[in-house]
Amino acid sequence: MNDPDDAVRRLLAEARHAEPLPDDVAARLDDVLADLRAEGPPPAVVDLAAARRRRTRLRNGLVAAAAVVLVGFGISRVDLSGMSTDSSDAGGSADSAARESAAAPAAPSPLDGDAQAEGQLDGQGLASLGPVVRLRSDRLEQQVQRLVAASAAGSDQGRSADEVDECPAPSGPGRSLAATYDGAPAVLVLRPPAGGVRVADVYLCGESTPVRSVSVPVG
Amino acid sequence: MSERTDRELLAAHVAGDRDAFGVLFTRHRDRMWAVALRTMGNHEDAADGLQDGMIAAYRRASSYRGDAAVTTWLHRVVVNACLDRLRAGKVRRADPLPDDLDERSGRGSLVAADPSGTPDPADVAVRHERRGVVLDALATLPPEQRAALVLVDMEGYPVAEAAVMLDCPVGTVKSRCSRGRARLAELLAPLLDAERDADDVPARNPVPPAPVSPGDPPRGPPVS
Repeated sequence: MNDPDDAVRRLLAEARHAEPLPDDVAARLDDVLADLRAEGPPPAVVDLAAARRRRTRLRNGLVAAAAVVLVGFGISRVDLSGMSTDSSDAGGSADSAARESAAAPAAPSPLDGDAQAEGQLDGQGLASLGPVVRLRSDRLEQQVQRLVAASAAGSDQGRSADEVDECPAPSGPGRSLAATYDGAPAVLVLRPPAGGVRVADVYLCGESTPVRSVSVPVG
Repeated sequence: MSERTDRELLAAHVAGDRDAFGVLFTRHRDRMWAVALRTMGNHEDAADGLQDGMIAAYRRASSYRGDAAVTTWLHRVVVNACLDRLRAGKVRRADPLPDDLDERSGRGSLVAADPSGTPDPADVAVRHERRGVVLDALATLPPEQRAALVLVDMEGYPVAEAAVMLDCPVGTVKSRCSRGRARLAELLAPLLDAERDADDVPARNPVPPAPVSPGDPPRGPPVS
C-alpha cells in the first residue's frame, strides 16, 4: 500500500526544476553584478559587539532624556495644583517639546505615512533633527519604490544621513537618508540607478553591512 | 591550476577580489534559480528574488561566519530574499509554469527519452500535465511551507541543512514539511488516486509462447 506522504514526495521530486538559469535572467544578474563591482569591495566586518554597545548607549541616553521630559511634565502638573515651584522652565521645555512634536513636518509623503517626522520621542534618537524615513521590514519594498518614484519626480524625502552624527552614512555611492528600520535607528542608502533597477540598502546604525537590500525598477 | 573552493572565493571577495563573487555565484546559481523558481512560482518573481539575494550576498559577504557551507549560506540569503518578497506581497500572480518542458525541451534534461532517443509524446504530455497540477497545488501553500518542501522534497537537502537555510529549528522544518505534504495530499487526491489505481491493476500473465508446430506428422498407433 502506498504511503500518501511518500507519494506526495515523489510527485514533488518529479516537479523539480532541473534546467539551468535562463539566459535573460543570467544576463540581468551579470549586469547587476557589474554594477556591484563598480561600487567597490563589500563593506568590511565590523565589531558587532561594539556596535551593539554603541546602540545601547544611545538608547540609554534617550531613555534619560525621556525621563527628564517626563519629570518636567510631572513637576508642571504639580505647579498646576497650586504648589509654588520653580518649574516653569521645565514645564516650558516639555511644552516646547510637545509643540515641536505637534509641529513636526507632516507634509504628504510618498510613503503614505511611513516616512514621517519622528516627533514622539520614541527612543530613536533622531527626533530633534527633523524627519526620518520610517521603514518597516514587511513593507520595505513598497516604501522604497515610492521613495524612488518621489525622488525621480524631484520630491526629495527624508533627511540626509550626513546630519545624523550618531549614525554616519555608510561608504559607497548613493543618497543616504536617515531612517528607522522596524523602530531601530538606521540609514537608507539609495544607490545610483543601474540596469533599470535601483538598489536600496538599509544599514542599522553602527553597522557597515546592510541588514536588508532590495532592488526596485526605475523609470 | 586547481579551482578555488567556495570559501576561498568568498574570502577573496571580502578581501577585495573583484571577480571572486561572480565566479562563486555562477557556480551555484542554477540550483538557486531552481529554488527561487519553485518558491516564487513564476519566472519574473524568481528572477527578482534571485537578484535580491545576489545583491544581499554580495554586500553581506563579510557576515558569513563559516559555520555552514558557503552554498548553504548562499541559499539562505536567496531563500530569505524570496520569502521577503512573498511576505511583502510583492509578487505577480503565479501561473502554472510553462518554464520547463516547453521553454527548454531542446536542452532536454527533464524529458525522459526512451532508449531510442525519442520521447513518447504521450508520456511527455502526461508528465507536463501532472507537473502543472503539482505546481498549482504547491503555489497554494503558505510561503514558509512551500520553501521547506522545495528545499527538502524537491531539492533533496537534508532537513538539518534546510533548517539552516530557512533560519529555523529542525523541528520547524519537519512540521512545515509535514503540514505541507498533508495539504498537498488533499489537493492532489485525484492524481494520487489515479496513480494508486494504476499501481493496483494486477499484472497480466505473461503471454504464453506460441505453440510449436510439429515438424513431423502425428504418429499413429504402433503397427503391430
